[in-house]
Amino acid sequence: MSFDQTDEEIISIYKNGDREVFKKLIDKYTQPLFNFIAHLDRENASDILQEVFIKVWKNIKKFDEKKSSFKTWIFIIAKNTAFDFLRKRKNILFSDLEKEEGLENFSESVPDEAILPDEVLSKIEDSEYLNKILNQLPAHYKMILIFHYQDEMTFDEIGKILNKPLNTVKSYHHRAILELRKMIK
Amino acid sequence: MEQKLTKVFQKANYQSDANLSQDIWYFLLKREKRIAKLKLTAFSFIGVLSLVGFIPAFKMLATDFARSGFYEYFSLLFSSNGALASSWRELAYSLAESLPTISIILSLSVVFVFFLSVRHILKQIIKGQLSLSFNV
Repeated sequence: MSFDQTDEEIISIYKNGDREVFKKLIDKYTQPLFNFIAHLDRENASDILQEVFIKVWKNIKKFDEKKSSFKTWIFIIAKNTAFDFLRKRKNILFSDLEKEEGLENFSESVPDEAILPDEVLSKIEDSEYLNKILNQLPAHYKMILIFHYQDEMTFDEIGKILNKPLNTVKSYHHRAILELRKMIK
Repeated sequence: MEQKLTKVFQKANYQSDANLSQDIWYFLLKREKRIAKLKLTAFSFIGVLSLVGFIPAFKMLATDFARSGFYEYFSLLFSSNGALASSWRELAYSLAESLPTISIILSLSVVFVFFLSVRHILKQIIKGQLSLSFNV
């Protein structure tokens, strides 16, 4: 599916009274948001996604493109909605996000190529296996890997979504890769 | 490694149902229509109530104007020009004092509520148009 208008252009049209244009945003973000949410709760991903779009529909007039991009904004809503949903339904505490404070100084001296050599990479080419491993990772590691490799977000964008400084995100990413390697072996 | 990982990860995307975005769009329209209907009913009720309430409020306003002597003071404006020129300040005070403030506030409030509900009714009708255009 191709999208010839930028998010900001679509939102501007919406704010000028053409509410039907909102459908374009739904078409564009359903798949990436579904994928992200499904990694947190596959069973209820559709329901959570529906809730996300209700929130976006209600608050889109408040969206300020000077503060963040629409992509970052919608993913923040998706993350918060998914966490709220999981807390309510399953009583899961996402304190693990806070537990990892102090990782800012984590050593990043190991080069990436050495972290995940080709033989390890070939093992995770099986999508089912990779998802199985991802599901065993702590939520914050999993989210960083999904955002970075599936949604191709920069560490800066990820930091805005997770409300973490850039260095923390980089450290989390490094840790996540190491954890991934440990699990594959 | 970055590119390889991206390739491997993107293969492991969870795919949504083909109709999910369409379903969400229809769900939003249905929800919008339901809320619009609810608001339309509520504001119509308030509108009718304020319209009905305007009758006793207007009667009270007319009675209070008659009782307060406002009309008498007001008629002085059109009587002797000489008297008006000499004591216009006193007349203005008397006119202001004789105004039935409470009745005026009450009547204006009823009119305000009526126009406010008409505005909201129109807004809900416009909102409902979108869902109607999709036969939701």
